[in-house]
Amino acid sequence: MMSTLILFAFLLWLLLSPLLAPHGDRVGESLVWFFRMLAVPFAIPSRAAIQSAHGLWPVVQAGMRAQDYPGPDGQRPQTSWIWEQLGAVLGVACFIVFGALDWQLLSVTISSIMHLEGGPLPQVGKLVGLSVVLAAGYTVFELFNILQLSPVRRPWCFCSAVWRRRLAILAVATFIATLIAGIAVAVYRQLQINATHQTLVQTVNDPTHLHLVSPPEPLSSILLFTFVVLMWGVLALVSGGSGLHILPLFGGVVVVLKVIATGLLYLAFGACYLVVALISCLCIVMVLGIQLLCLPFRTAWNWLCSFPAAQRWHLSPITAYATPPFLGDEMAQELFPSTLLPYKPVLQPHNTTDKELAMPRALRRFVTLLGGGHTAISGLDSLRLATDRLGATIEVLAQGCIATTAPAGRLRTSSGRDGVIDLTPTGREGGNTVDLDPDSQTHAQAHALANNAIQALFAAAVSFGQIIWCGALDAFMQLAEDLLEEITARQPGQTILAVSMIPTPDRYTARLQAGLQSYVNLHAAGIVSATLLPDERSPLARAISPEAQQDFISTLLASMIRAPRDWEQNPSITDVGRAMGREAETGLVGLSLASECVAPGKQLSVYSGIRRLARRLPARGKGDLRDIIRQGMKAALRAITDPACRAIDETIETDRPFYVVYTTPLHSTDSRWVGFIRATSTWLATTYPDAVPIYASGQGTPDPRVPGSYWIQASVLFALPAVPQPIQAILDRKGLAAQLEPVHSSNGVVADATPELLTTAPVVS
Amino acid sequence: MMASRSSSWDEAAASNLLGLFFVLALVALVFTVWLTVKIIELLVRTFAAHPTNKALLGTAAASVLLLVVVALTGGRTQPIDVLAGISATALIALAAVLDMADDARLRRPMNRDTAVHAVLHEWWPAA
Repeated sequence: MMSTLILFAFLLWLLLSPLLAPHGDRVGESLVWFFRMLAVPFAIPSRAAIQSAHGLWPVVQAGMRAQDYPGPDGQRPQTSWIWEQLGAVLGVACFIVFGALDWQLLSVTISSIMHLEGGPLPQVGKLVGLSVVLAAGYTVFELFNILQLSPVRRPWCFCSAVWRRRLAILAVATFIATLIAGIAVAVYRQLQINATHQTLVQTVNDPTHLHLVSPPEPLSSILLFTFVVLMWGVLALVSGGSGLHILPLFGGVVVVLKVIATGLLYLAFGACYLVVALISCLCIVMVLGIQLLCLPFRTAWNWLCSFPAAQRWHLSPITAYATPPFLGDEMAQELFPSTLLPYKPVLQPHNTTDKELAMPRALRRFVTLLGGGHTAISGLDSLRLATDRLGATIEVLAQGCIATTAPAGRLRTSSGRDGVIDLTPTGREGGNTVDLDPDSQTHAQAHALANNAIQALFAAAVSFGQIIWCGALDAFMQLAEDLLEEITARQPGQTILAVSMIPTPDRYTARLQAGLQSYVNLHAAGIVSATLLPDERSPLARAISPEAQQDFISTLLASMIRAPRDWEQNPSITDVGRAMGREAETGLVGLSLASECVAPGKQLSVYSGIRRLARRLPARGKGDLRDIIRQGMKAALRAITDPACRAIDETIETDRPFYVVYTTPLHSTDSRWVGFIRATSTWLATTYPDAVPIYASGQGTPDPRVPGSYWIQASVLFALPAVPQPIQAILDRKGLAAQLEPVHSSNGVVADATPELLTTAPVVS
Repeated sequence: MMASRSSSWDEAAASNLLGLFFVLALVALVFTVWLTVKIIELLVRTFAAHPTNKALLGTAAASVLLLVVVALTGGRTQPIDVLAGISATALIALAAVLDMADDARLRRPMNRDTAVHAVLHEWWPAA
């Protein structure tokens, strides 16, 4: 403690002594020169020895550690008392000399830049404040360098926690003290200048009043005002205190507070003035430097970035644009293969220039959302909300849907926002004419939707894209077949992932079986890679609600859309769809979804204070990595093992490959992101070796049964058997046969879906 | 003799320290520009998310009004200058609170690496 105080006092004197020595003051100048003669020859070799050979610093380290570090067994290490004391003394001495030297060098530099005479001694108020503040900043910089807190350089040494705290306090105190000293000296110089100016003016006007020079502003007003008000306040306090008069007492307190506030305001203005002066000087020098360095800067920067230290600081070379690995292996292929024949669109496409064709892949949108039927529209709306919430809209190229019940007008699809192209056919495109019957209008709409989608993909030059088709099981299936076939034929690079929903039993009709058969056929024909098939009466939907289950599914899809951006090793929708399509005979994929609450952890104190006033604000904090990992594992375990979490009542076969999608409330740029992935993937590989994790950043769907602020969601995608149990139940449902009616379509009569038919469907290899 | 030796030391040291000064100035410039961009981005994002928030609109109106008054008075009236600064600070603080409440992801802990990464790489959110 004593050494710290001595260091502080000496450093303060060191910084103030040259400033307080005016020109012509031989004593002051002699002190400065004496110090420089002492400091320079000692500091240069010492610093060189420490920074190059590290010959002295281990001794200092040993001394510092020996003073404070108790050792693993609680005992002080057996170190010679000489080194204990000498190390600390050497450290303090070195630090003092370094600080002094740095201040001297800085002063010389500023003098050289500003073309000022007189060597290291500052000249006028602004330069005084500037040099002192810079010296303080540089001293703090060096201190924080020692404390391993500097973002620029690696630390010289490793101090114990006690010394770190001690030096941090010292650094802050030094900075504040030098800042105040800088302000004081600047004000002092300014007052000198003003006084000189005023004296000259009065001398010119009236040479006889040389001794009547009034104090310069703001000294006169501040001192006079302060004195008068203080006296008045003291009198008021005395009278109020003796006579028990409340009003004078209150008035006195107010006056004293006002005086203090006025003084603080002047101090704040002085600080602001110095900061502005500092920034302005920095800007002038900086602009000159940039002008000099602008031409070779890029080359020099790239050269500097090649050093290992630059890589540790995450400095990247300057290139034309970043080309991060984006989607999965599928997207690693050439975007414009020569074998792909150009498509001649029906409508006039956008003019695709060479510049647009040369856009990097990272700037492209790859996912198109299509849907048919009113249940699909609600699903698409939910999915768009989820993409907005999770920040996945940037990957969505276009969106559109069709429905039979509203053929005459444009449907509200929530698309067209954030650059998403609206593919929904307009009334004219959808055959909205009086001479067409509703079926023909629907066919025209489907064709128009397919056409719009193909043109959008062509205009965006997306040769290998992904389409998510949201379709009802009991409607539009024949149209969906035609639409998806047309898209696949004209844009063969697209991978289609279908999402449907088994409706409630009151909607079991023959159309349902036809819809199932259509998805099986589309998978067998290689048009649809896989079909996600949740059940509206699943255990999860019964436990929460069908709407909440839909939110879970939308969050899952949005997570899969943005996952390749969050983590390079995440498989894309194409990879997942094709892998699941290979794994499931009929391409049907089941879902199991669970969400767990994550503790907000330590909250920002300001935000907590505001939250006490506004109770509606949710809790916001940094969380804790261990809690996030624990809740992530818990959510995944529940999704895999708990039957109540399944969106379709079918057992998960953990000895077959399946995907676990984590939607975690961590930013992908969070330093804990990698730690979370490492921990959960290791646990998953140990517990379920066939599970493939996917990680996306975003808020998981809140479980309506539990309150919470942050949620982590685990979604499991697993292959369903050829005829899943809920579908078998539909097929076995008594009384359904009486409702069965042949469904006529443009291709003729659709056969009834039977288990034999479903299981004998060709399997995509 | 001593003065001339010291002068040569000073010149050498000045030339060496000039590079450090440039680096510090560059870092200050980058940080200042980054901070400005982040404040603008914060205000744009918050107004886009809460276009009808009365507190936000009121604070923004007060800030604009006071800034206009400051511009008209040329910044010579200190109370108005202080009020303008307070209102601008309140606007930024309110936007920060609303933005924090909207962000359903955990706040990132700030340390040296994240701060450097933020200043060097995160000039605008990637959605």
